Parts: sequence; structure tokens; C-alpha cells
Amino acid sequence: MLVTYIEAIRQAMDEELARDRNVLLMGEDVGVLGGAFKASTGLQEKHGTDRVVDMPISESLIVGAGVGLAVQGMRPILEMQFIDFISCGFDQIVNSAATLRYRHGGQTACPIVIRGPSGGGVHGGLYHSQNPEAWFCHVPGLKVVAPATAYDAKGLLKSAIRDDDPVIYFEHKFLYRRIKEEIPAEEYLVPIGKAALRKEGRDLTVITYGAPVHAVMKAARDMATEVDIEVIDLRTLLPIDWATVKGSVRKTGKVLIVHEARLTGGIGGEVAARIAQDCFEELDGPVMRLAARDVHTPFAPAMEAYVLPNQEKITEAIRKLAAY
Amino acid sequence: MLIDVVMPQLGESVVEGVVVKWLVEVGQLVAKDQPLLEISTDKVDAEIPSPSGGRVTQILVKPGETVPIQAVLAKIETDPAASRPAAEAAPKWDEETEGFPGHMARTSGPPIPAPPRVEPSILAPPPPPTTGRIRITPVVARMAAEHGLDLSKIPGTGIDGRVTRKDVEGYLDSGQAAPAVSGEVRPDATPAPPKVARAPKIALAEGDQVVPWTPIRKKIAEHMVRSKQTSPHVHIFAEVDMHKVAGVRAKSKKEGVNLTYLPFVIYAAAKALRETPNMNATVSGESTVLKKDIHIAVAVDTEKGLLVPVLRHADRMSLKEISAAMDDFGARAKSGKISPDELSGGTFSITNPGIKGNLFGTPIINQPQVGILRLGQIVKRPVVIEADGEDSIVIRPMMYLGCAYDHRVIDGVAGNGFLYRVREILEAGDFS
Amino acid sequence: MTEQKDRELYRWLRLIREFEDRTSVLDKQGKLMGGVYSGKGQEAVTVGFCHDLRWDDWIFPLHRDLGAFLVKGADPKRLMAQIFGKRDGFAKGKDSYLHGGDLANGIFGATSCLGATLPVAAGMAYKFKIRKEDRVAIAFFGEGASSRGDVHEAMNFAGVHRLPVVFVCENNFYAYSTPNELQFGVDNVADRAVGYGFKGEVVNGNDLHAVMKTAGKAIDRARKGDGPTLVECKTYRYHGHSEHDRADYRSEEEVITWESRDPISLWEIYLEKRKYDIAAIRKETTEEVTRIVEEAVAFADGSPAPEGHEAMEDLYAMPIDMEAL
Repeated sequence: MLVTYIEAIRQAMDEELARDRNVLLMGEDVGVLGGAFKASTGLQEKHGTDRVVDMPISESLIVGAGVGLAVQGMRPILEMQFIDFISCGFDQIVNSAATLRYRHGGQTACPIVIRGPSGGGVHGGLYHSQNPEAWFCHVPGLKVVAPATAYDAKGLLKSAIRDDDPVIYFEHKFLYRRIKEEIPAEEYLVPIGKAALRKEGRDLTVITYGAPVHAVMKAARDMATEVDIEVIDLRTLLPIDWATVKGSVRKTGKVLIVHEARLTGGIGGEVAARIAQDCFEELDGPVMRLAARDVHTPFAPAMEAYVLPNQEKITEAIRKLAAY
Repeated sequence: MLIDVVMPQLGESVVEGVVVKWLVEVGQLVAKDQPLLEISTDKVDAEIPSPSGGRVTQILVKPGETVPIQAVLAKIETDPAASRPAAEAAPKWDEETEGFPGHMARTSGPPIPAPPRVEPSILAPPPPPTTGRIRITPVVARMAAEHGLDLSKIPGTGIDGRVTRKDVEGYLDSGQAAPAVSGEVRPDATPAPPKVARAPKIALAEGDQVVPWTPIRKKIAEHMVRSKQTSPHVHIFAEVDMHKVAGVRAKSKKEGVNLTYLPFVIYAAAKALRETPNMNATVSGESTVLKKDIHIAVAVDTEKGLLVPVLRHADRMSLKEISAAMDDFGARAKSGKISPDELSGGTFSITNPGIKGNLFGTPIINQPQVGILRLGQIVKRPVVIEADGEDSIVIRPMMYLGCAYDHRVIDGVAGNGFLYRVREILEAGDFS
Repeated sequence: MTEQKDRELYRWLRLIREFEDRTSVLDKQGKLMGGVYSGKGQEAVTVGFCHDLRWDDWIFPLHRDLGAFLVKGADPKRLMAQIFGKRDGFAKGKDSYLHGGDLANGIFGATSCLGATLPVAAGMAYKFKIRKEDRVAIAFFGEGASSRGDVHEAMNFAGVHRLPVVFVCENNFYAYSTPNELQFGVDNVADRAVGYGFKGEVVNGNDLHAVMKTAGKAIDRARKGDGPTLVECKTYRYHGHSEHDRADYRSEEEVITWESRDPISLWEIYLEKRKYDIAAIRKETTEEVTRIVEEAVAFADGSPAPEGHEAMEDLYAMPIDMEAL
């Protein structure tokens, strides 16, 4: 069936709410309104006010309550209305949820999913454009995923809900309705911890995730006569599928990492460091990164375009690396 | 028993304390939890309760002195009858016995000095790049070393004339590269190990467990695939009557020495290898290296996986020496104390799957060796023997001994001859 | 109350006191690592709230509520092993003091961000409500933590859904060194309950009778589905914030005044008035609690220390070896 990225998310929640009565959806305006982006349209009507819960504007409570429910064997999906507000629940995520199993010596699981719209390119300004995934990749005990396709959005969310560890699920709002994709009518899962090889190539590898996957794929098609590009969509950012990353690097010898989050302290740094350490003798050029400039994501269109990676910047970076 | 009274760490950041006052004297009897002294730290003043009842035998720190946390302040003899006040000794920070400071938490130690601030030394500017310098990448450096290439002969097409991987591949394909001429056998002339075939994608059902391979598992997997792809294995079997071996075992048991069957097979194999040099060999490229020394690798199952320690000069060892060496390997394998050196250099292998090893098995050759023996289960069977020209049926402990040899190198005569000889030695029962 | 229950409550007060005292002594003897936060003087609060709970109710103790662990059913031996950082502790050595909860007995381990357990308790109470389970959650917090947003967020949510939770503020007048007047502008923390749409009560936290009466009503209310209560217990800690706090921000007079209102002494006076044989009870109880605590120390001492590599366990449901990937 042909679905948008956001419809895939809605379906995943709908199916899991129907499949398992321990699954709940909690967040601001997720009930009657169906979510600020309509990701939960119709879910409260179908699954009840007890299980699709309109929460007060209290991100710390939303995550904390999720931990309390998790201890009782429930599997709450906790929505951040914008992922930019996740910082209000930061303590509950990194100190309460991520340590729950560990500080109890393995006595309990923490099956919660925290999801919400991330990403820029939509003229959202400072508080509706953020990509804070790197903060959470630094936290042991969490898992972090960022789907780029409708297929993955659905399959990864269903896996995240069934996972016994806290999963932070970054959905990219730029993709919500820009992507329409054929997905299977029957049930499927996408495993957490496995990258997707989007395109095979011999000359260089581009490692990316989230919205830039689509720009990178376009570049790979457009530049096919010039350079044979391999594209890896990480999908899971914690834990990263190092086997796929390294296998590709060993083949091509050249790597460009592209992400929309800021350069300094971003996922790209970790990926580059691993490659430099484990694949040094296979490298035929420096590991390069293309990311947002080290500044907040500004509102005015010209400035936003200046800051975020885009099609031209990707093409230019690929060309530079190919020629090295 | 003499026990220590130590300076407690009263606060995570506290590293030392001052002894303010002693409330007891040397020779005094004290009760458990009775205050012994007053201390003062950056954060708190406290009375230190005695860890035990007994007699104070030593006071090691004078009032006013500052000592690190966990430093011994006094000693108490818990059995007062045994105690004699000892002479006062000055406490001393001993790096050798107490370790270096750095374990911030509970290790005793002096405060850690602040690291010094140093000015960067002024370096001469780097010399300008010399023209004609060859610019390469790490992968090109590796390929050049592998193929013995002179990089100055390869035109670079990368930025600033950099020689790229593609340039090297093109150069190699063009046939311009001079072959690496060499009379000696190059160990790296063997083809690159084939990668373990990728498993087909498997749909996971709920409850399925994915167990990623440990590094040792990966190594075993790669090795097994490589061996099967490299060597055409021929498997042969001998049925060995172990009753004389069993007799020797029983005899040595009476002498207090416990021998398993394995040392006998090692002993017999070492002897047979001396007579069949083709089997004691390794393959290097397109040559066979007949090894002078007989080093037998014996597979040992450990918690971490399969380990194969090597028994050096097995042919020079007595049965008891072999047995002792195997016991030693077994013990050290369990505690993980086998050094990497002891795992390499084997010239022939023996694998013993133990009492649950079943009738027989077809072992995989331990590359680059050319042969391997495998012990089967030892089972009592009725067998027909001929004595004084008459056939009779007796009960004997029998074992199937499996052998694999590399048919690239070994032909049937040598391979079968070797195994036949091992059997003869075992059945003859002479292990002196 | 029956004599049996009167004596039982006395036993709990004394066991907690003995456990606290022994822990302080062990710390001074250099046997413990990390922080030790004595709740000596506050025993009546934890006994009063936990004694009549059901085994399937949940408590969310704060960092000073060693007593709550004991009364709710934690094995003293394992609790001591937990404090020793040993493998038999609830956290198997992975975190200190009361951070490792005993989930099988409905005791949740707190983080060091005080008050952060309140949203967790509210979430759990939400589950009790939607599943129509007549269980309650008791969330303890200090008056210092009451300044944190988590406390407000949790109470607000509990008020919205009339959740079966009791918020217990242990007001011991100092958050580390900061006194009440620098912590909040209201007279009592409980005065804030009205802002969340439920009842707030102030009680003498050293008077076990008073605590039990208020706790009983609040717990009943929660169990019957009549919503949360905020109970503020005014009490006092004899020791500093931790064992390495001199606590010279308060006067000796003040400490002595509170020592004269000691919860155990008050209970002994009550037992005497009831004409029980107090001398015999005291002797018997002393022997019993000393033995229990001594056994706990011996067990903790003998429990194996975890090995370094065990640090990598209990992080994820299925182990992930980042270094080997």
C-alpha cells in the first residue's frame, strides 16, 4: 500500500496498540487532536482515553511516568510534540530511564519509546528544527534510531515498541508528507542495530541517515557517470552497525559522512574515528564529514540554507573526495 | 589476630585527614566501637570507633600529623592474651606495596599533585615540501608493500598528483609491475583467506535470539572455511585395540599416576611422525616444508572456545612428561593463562572430543599443516582374536582413530602408512 | 492497637535505628565507600507509612529512607550488601547506598536528582488506575526536592487523574545546609496541595501515632480511588546531610531540642503508659535488632565483590559489545 512517512508511523502505533494491551501512547495533544502533526489521528477514538493519553505540558513527567509504567510491564510510547522539547525531559531520560536496569542490577527492563518530530529545512526556526540525536548516543543504556523511509519508519517503530530497552526514535518532519512509498500490507519489523545498504558502489561510500539519505541517493544517481557511490543508511545510531560500515569502507577506501545535525560532537565524529582506527590501511583518502554548520538553525530561508547540508553541498563534497 | 585501624574516607573528595587526639594509649584494652581517636578532615571532624575489641598494640600516627585515607593509624590485637605492645614505627607511604595514587576512590595515597603547566616549545617551521615527493594514501602504502611496487613508476591521478588506489590497480592490471622474483618461499604467497560466506537473511520470529560471534568464534569460523576450501581432505579410520594401553594406565594408577588415553595417542603419533616425515609438514605457497621438529597441537575445549596449545618436541617426551604437559595446558586454559606463543608453531594436530566423542569423526586440518588425528570414543566390544592358531572372542576396549590428510601433499601410501603405524604402536603397548 | 502491634512497631523503629547507627560506625571505620545518608531521627515517618502497606503496593524512598526499605520487606542482609557495594546487593555493586531498589518487594531505587522519582510514582499509579488495581504508590521526597519541577509536574498530573498515590514530604528543615526559609515562600510544603486540587496535611513526623493516623487515611483514600494526598511530616535528622557533613549550619540547642522529641523515646513513653514491661521489651528488642544487624554485616562482608568486567552487564536486555562490533 502507498503511504506517507507519517502514516507509516501512525500505522505502527495503531497496530502495536491493537496487538498488545500494555502499549500506551502518551503526549501533549495526542488524543482528541491526534497530535500536532496528526501522527496519532483516530488512535484515541479507537483505543480509548486510558491508553492514548493527553498529557500536561510536562516533558519530564511524560518520560518519568513512562519509567513507572515500564516497571509495571507496560510499553509506553512517549511523544515529544517537537523533539526540541526533549531537553525538558533530559534528566528523566539519561538518569532515570537509561540507568533503570543497570542501577537495579538487571531486576527490570525499561521498554519505553520516546519519539517526536526532529529536523530542519522547514523554516521552523530555533525550536522546531533541532537534531539532538548525538546527545543521546553518548548515553549507555539507550538505543537511538532515525528512519529515512516510510518502510523503516513503520518497521523500526514497531521494533522499538517491542524492544525491552529505552529507544529514542527520531522522526524527520521534513519527510512526514514529502515521502510516499509502497509498503507491505502484511506485518513486518525492521531490526534495531542494522544499517541499510541503499546502493552499491565501488568508488566511495557515503554514510548518512535521516532526511539527507534522499539527497545523497539523488546525488548518487545524478553523478553515476562520474563516480560509483555506495550509500549506507545507518538507521540505528546507537548501536551503530559497524560491520556494515567497515565492510563498505574496506571495499571503497573513501568515506563521506553526511548528517543534518551539527558537525562538532555529531555522530559523524564517532563514525570517522572508528573508521580511522579500524580501517586505516584501507583508506584511500581522508574520512570527510558534511554536516550543519556549528550554529543554531536560523529562521530566515537564506540563512537556513546556508547552515544546513543540501543537494549542492553534497555533490561538491562527493566530487572533492572522489578526486582525492 | 592483629587488625588495622585506618583513616576513613569521610566524603568522596576527601583524600587525607589530620589526627587531632588519641583517646586511648598503647597497651590499653578497648571495646568494639569504642572511640579511639579524633580526626579532622576538610569536611568533617569525627571520632573513629574501634573496628574490634582487643588491645591497642601500636599507635602509628602522632597528633597533628596528616595522613592519606586508608593509611593505618593503629593496630589492635584482637586476642589480648597474645599481645605485646610493639615499638612505635613511623608510618610510611610505600609505593611498592600500596600502589600508586590514581585510584581516586578508596586507595590510600598522598594527595595527587596538580599537573604542571608548561609552555609549548617553539618548533622550527616544517620544511617546505620537496618536489618529487610521492603522495600516497594508507591503502596505497599497503598495496605497494604487498606487491613490492616502486611507487615512483606509477603516475598519480589524484589531487596534487597523489597516487590513488585506482592508479595502483590500473598499474597492476596493465602487467607493468615486475613480478616479485624470489627464490625463497614467501609465507604471504598463499591466497588471501576467503571471507566466510554471508548467511542469507533470516526472518526473526519473536523470541529468537541473535548471538553475535565473539572474536574467537569469528577466527574459528574463518579458519574452518579456509581449511575446507584449501585442502582436499581424505579421511581414513583405524580400529585400535586399546587393551594394552588400558593395562599401562591401570598399572600407573597403582603407582599413583593418573593417565588419560590422550597422552598415549600423542606419544604414538609423535613416534609415527618421525617415521613418516611427509605428515609432519606445512604448506607454504606451492611448496611443502618438511618440518625438522615435531610440535603437536592439541585441541582443548575451554569456556572461551576452542584453544590449540602446542606440545613442542613431543617426540622427545616421555609418556609422563606428555601427560604432565597436557594437565598443565588444561589448567592454564581454564584460567586463560596460555600465552599466544604456545598456540602457534604446530606441525601436526590431534583432537580429542572426550568421553562423549562418539564413534568417529572427520576432523578438519589445522592449516597450514597437512594432517590431523581424532580420537573416537573408547568402547568395550567383542572382538575376534587369533591366538595359537585358534580364533576366539574376547572383550576389548576399542577405539576408532580418525585421520585426515591433505591430498595435495600426501598420497594414500604415506597417509595410510602413518595411521597404520600409530595403531601398531598403540597396540604394541610399549611406551617406555 | 494490640500489644503485639505496639511491640512490632517498636521493633521496626529500633531495627532501623540500629541499622543506621551501625552504618555510620562502619563508615567511620573505613569499611564503606561513597556517601552514607543517615536518616537517624526520622524513623517514625518511614515506619508510619510503610508498616500497613500491602506487599504489592510500591514505595519510592528518598536517599535517606533506609528504614522504608526494611519495613517494606527488603532483606537486611541484602540491604547491607547493597551498601557495601557487593554482588549480593540489589544493584550488584553498580550503584551505591539506596540507588539500587528491591523491585520484588515494591521498592524503587532513586537517582541522585532528588524528586525525580515522583513522576515515576505518578506513572505507576496511572497504571494501577487504568487497570483498576487497588494498589497505591507512596512517593517520599525531601522539602528541598519540593523546589524541583519534577515534583510539580508529578503532583499536577496526579491531580488531573486522581491517581492512587501519596506524596510524603519529609521536611527535616535543611536541604543539605539550606533552611526552609530559603527553600520556599509558603509556610508549609503541604499548603501547595490546594494548587493541585487535592488535600494537603501537616503532621508531626516524630510522633508515630500521628504519622500512622494520617498515613492510614491518605492510603485509604488512594486505594478507594479518591485521589492523591500530600502529607508533610515535620521531622529532624540528627546527623549532617551525609556522614561527612559537620552540619555546623545549625545550633547545638536546636539539635538537643529535637533529640528531646526522639521518635523512639516517644514510643517508649507510650509503651510504658500502656503498662507493658518496658524493661523486658527493650532488652529483648535490643538483642534481636543487634543480632539482625550483625548478621547483615557478616553477610555483606562475606559477599563477593563484583569483578571489573561485570561493569558491562545489566546495561541492555540483550548484551551489546560495542568494542567487538
